Amino acid sequence: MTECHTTPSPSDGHRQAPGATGRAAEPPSPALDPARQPLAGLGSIVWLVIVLVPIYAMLSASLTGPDKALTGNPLKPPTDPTLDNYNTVLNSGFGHLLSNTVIVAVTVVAIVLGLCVPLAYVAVRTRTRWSGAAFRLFLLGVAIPAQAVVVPSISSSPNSTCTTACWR
Amino acid sequence: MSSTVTSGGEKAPKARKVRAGRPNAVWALPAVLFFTFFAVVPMALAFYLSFTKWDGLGDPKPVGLANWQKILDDPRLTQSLTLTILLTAASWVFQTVVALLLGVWAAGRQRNRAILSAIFFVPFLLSSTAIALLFYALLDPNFGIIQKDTLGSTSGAFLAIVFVGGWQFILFHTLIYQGGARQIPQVLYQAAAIDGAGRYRQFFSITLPQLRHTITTSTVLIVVGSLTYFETVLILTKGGPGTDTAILPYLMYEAGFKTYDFGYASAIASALVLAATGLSLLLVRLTGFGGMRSTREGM
Repeated sequence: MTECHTTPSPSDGHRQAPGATGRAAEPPSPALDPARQPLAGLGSIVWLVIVLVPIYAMLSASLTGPDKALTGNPLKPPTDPTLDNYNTVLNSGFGHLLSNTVIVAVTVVAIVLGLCVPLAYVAVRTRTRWSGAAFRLFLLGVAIPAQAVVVPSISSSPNSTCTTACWR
Repeated sequence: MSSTVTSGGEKAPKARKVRAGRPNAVWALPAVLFFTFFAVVPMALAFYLSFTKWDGLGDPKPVGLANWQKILDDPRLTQSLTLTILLTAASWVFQTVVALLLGVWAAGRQRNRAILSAIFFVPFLLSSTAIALLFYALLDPNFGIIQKDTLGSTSGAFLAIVFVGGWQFILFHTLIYQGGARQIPQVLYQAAAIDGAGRYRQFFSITLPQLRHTITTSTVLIVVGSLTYFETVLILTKGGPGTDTAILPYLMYEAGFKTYDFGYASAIASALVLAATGLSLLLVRLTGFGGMRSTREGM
């Protein structure tokens, strides 16, 4: 193999302390080695194109005026680019919508981190019947379709008008 | 290896009594309470509603097992169930293969991989609704890219849903695999290289086995996600052409929010939750993931 220079001598490997893998200091493994993987490189380029084409079409459409929106191929660059669409977005309460999104995002992240980190700690570090049951209970949670609990959540909420009124 | 002595020592009878470093179950309490209030209770209410007739106004009227009987008698259900299973299987194959390869590739610490991985992240920043609308425009028979009625044919609509789901979620699973692949000790690859193992042998004999818990995690998320997949179907095909892409969650939506038969919708939802939870538990049990043991134990 040509990657032999990345391999330490056998004696080094055997003397390594258990658990001390020292990943950061080591060179990349042959399997993750760059340059020698034309197929992997090609695959990543193919996926890059798959990811970028729709995004390009979206950006291109955002620079196209409403009168030209439905003409021609969406992959053609806009003939007469305009920032009017962005102007419309910014002038229709964008700041307010953005602040709503930020409030929701920050709250959700805080709740998730505050609750999940201690839970994961218990799930991994204990092997009691209760921690196993809790883990299975949360697996059930992943399986709940959001639409299924929307109706009961709203109809059972003591202040159900809040769901619409609070975010005005 | 000599390190097995350490992990064996933890299981000694004395250590069980001391439980040094083992957290109390109280740590899990806040999450359990929150989850109970916002997920278990509403789901229990939905389960209760599945035994009633309710149009959203007034009080639900108990009807016994009528809604569940209706599920069994509904001619659309067999088609819908088959479609849901097919969609789940196709999504799993597409997303797992691409995400696993991309994830292992992205685990390399080269700069070009970091840059491309950042670009791959972009679809994850868009909402499901935005992505479905984007592809709806791109697949338009008159003004789209292909200029062919993709969404008008049964197979085209189905493949479009699988593809759009993959486009949206593959990056998420790539991140999981990237994290998993970076945890694999380099010493394993070095030892394999000394033994003369090539790149493909290393992938199948080291990378894949070491990623087995990662594959389980990703699989559970894909399977459950596909079983409850909804927004994309609603926007992209509306269950069509005809009812050819009306998967179970879409059937539930139609029953609940179009015909206001919340009892029947809740019965479908309950059946879905039972099926998805059962599948998740089965996967966890079959793969030994529930044991919470590291793939590196004994190394």
